[in-house]
Amino acid sequence: MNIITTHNLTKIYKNKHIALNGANLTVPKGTVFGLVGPNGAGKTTTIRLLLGLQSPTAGDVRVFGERMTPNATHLRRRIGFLPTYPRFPKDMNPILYLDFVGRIFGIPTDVRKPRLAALLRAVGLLSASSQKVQTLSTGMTTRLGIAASLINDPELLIWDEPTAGLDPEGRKYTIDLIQELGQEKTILVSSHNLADIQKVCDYIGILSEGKLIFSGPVEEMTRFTRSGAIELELEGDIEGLCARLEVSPIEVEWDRIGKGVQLRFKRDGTMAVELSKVLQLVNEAGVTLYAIHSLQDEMVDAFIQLLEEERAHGFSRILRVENEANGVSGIDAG
Amino acid sequence: MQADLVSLARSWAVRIWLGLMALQAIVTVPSSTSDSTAPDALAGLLATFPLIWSLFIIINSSGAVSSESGVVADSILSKSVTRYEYILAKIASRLVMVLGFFLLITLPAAYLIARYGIGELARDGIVWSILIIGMMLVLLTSLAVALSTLFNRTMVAMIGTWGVWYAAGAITALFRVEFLSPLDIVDALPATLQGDYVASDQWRILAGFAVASVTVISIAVLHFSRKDL
Repeated sequence: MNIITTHNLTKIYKNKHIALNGANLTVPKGTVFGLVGPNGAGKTTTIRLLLGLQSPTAGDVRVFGERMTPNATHLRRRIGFLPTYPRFPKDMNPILYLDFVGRIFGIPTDVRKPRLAALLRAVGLLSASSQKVQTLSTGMTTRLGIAASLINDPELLIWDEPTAGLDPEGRKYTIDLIQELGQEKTILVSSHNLADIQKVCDYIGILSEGKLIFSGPVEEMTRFTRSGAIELELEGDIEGLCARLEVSPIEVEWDRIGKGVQLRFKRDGTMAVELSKVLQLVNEAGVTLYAIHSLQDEMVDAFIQLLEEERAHGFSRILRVENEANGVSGIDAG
Repeated sequence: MQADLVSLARSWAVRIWLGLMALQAIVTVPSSTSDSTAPDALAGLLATFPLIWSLFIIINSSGAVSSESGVVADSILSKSVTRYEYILAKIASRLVMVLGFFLLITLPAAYLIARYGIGELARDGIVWSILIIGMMLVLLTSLAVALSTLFNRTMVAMIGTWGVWYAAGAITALFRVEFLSPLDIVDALPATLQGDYVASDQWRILAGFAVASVTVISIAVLHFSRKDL
């Protein structure tokens, strides 16, 4: 069963800006769905359309099998929403705000009060529960938003960039929480950083310039992004190392970048062997190795670019996609 | 609505406004027993609502929706609240505040002026005057909240409402409903308070303000129910 289904979802603002273009999105029940894309790709627009905060220019949104509209309160009662940098009524403190949200959802006092106390404890805001929300830090504000999104014990959580503006500890806390909540709820979480959420998602949707260019299982996504690219952070005679790489028989493409070298290995499973040979060369060149970084994010960018180039091959493809309108799976999702 | 009323009660602008109105009533009531006749004193008190206190009504109502433009989507309408419930609660809370303050000030003042003031006051005239000024304030409040849904900036909504209200004479002339001109109504207050009026005219004014208010509220609700947040 699908919790969210969008059909040809399009949003054009004032006939000036195309924020979303024919997105066909499917979020199965019980999954953690990551909506990924750079800033301005259309993630927040998609989420606002899913919640009925905005109306689509074309296409439709179905949540729990019913059409989402601005007045579909019975559907939103089953959703927990966390906006990016959430804004709360200034004159409230966390207790008053959670109580207010609980009352909006019609939760009876004997359920609401214990639940808000438990949530404040769970998100670590007990000590700040009497502070005005406008005095809370970004991390605390996000944690209050998380608590508010859980006050109605929703079946579906929609979190828009929950890690935005958080320090590493806050990011880890949020990612761990998504993992934990994902065991019993359906979650749609957006981020401009795939690496942030990839490990907790079952499904991924990639938005680029308003177009959903990929939607499908994470495994399918990683199959495309697994290109074995890493970056070595070095100090010393890097030029000497490059000279050795130039003449070595190691099967690797390399680029000299800043204080290091970027390596791209083949996808045939020989990466460990080839990398050990490169490290041997590093040792022989007398270069100090400080760190090895994964280039997953860059690979996602490359992935997006590849798909867009692929798509640009002709109008026939677009026409075919329009005819396929139902369901999104695999490449060429839009 | 309850949350909005609590928020209004905490507002210093609202408290100061209430204090100024009370002060004016305290000054007006004794004046009706000496240098002023009762109809003029009560008419003067009632006239300050559309002419002077309207500024406070505009300030407190023009930001009803626009001042919450970020919060409303994040904290309220993304939950189980319909657009209609939200906008009607906003209008209702402002109307409760404005009419509550209006009646709180004018009813005791009208009673004291009628009881101790010099000059004749007709009871029916007092009721008509309070009803008509009250309906005028309903229209002004509705207009301010309506413009607050149209504009995302409170200042624009405020200036817009102020412009429409102070150009009301020209607007009523344009639509050939001069009987709804606030200035003409205020000018006629002393006579009305003495019972010098035609009942059908009073009904016409009351109905005119009611229709205008319902129209403004309907436009606001319709617009807000379709607005992208």
